[in-house]
Amino acid sequence: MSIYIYLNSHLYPSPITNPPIHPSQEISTHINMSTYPDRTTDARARLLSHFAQATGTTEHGARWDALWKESFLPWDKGFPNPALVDLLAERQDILPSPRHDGKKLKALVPGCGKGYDVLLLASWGYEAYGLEIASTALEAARKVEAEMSGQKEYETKREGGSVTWLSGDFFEDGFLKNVQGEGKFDLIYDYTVGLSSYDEETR
Amino acid sequence: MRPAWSKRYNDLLSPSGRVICVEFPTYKPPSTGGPPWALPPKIYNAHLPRPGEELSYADDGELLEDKIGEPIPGALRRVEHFQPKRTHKIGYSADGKVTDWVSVWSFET
Repeated sequence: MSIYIYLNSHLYPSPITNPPIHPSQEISTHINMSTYPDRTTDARARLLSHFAQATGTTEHGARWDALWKESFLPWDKGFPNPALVDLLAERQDILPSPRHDGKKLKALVPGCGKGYDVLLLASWGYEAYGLEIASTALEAARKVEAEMSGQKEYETKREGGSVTWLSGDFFEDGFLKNVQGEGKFDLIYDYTVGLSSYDEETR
Repeated sequence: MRPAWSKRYNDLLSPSGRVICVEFPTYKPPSTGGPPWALPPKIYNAHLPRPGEELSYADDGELLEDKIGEPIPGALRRVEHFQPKRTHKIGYSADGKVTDWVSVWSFET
């Protein structure tokens, strides 16, 4: 998942500008997106205002779910990150080694969205868990799993993998009750988790 | 929330596990504001070895690297850092260069 909202106490009201606008200049709605091939100004502005009102976990969870219900998913790519595809195939040296206790390697994708990366990890033999705060997201992920599992990029490279969809907040322990064994993972894949998380009210 | 994020990875990873980050967006100077706010490699490298610790930032969003203390003993360390051959489209600059990085983190040294 790659949503670009990062809400914290440093949330600046000014739009993105490049080059930066001097504070003495009037801040208009000018947004120069031409340097970075990125999502549209409209989508970004909409996401920003959508989340700006929400505070605390429950509200943020509800806000995410609202986007999923509406299928407003400007971040959705439709396939796993090519960087992850390549490193799973080519870089055994940086991946976790088989466990001493012989148990399957557990992988976690926080903020998995429609779960393409989770399916990919499962195809490499991981007991893969996709975590999402929005339950509607997980419905979409289950659909993707049902429709796409046969596709080439998800064909089994190593036996024994599995897919589990978890509903919950990455920063709370609730989701761990549905995870096998102790609440620790052998592989955690982070892509824009820091960007898409909200800040605690107390900050 | 970056301290909470770093603490969470340190708490959730098994002793022999690996955190793999595809670092994005790395190309923006923090002073240009956001969203998206910049997440260059130095942000990951400052926070992940210091789980739960608040770090100092300037008003323009720039990390104050001089003020960063020692890594916390026993916390995650970066063991690999490279640019991937390919990544999602948004991880490329306008002139077609990969701007994303991959970092790998471990408790084992």
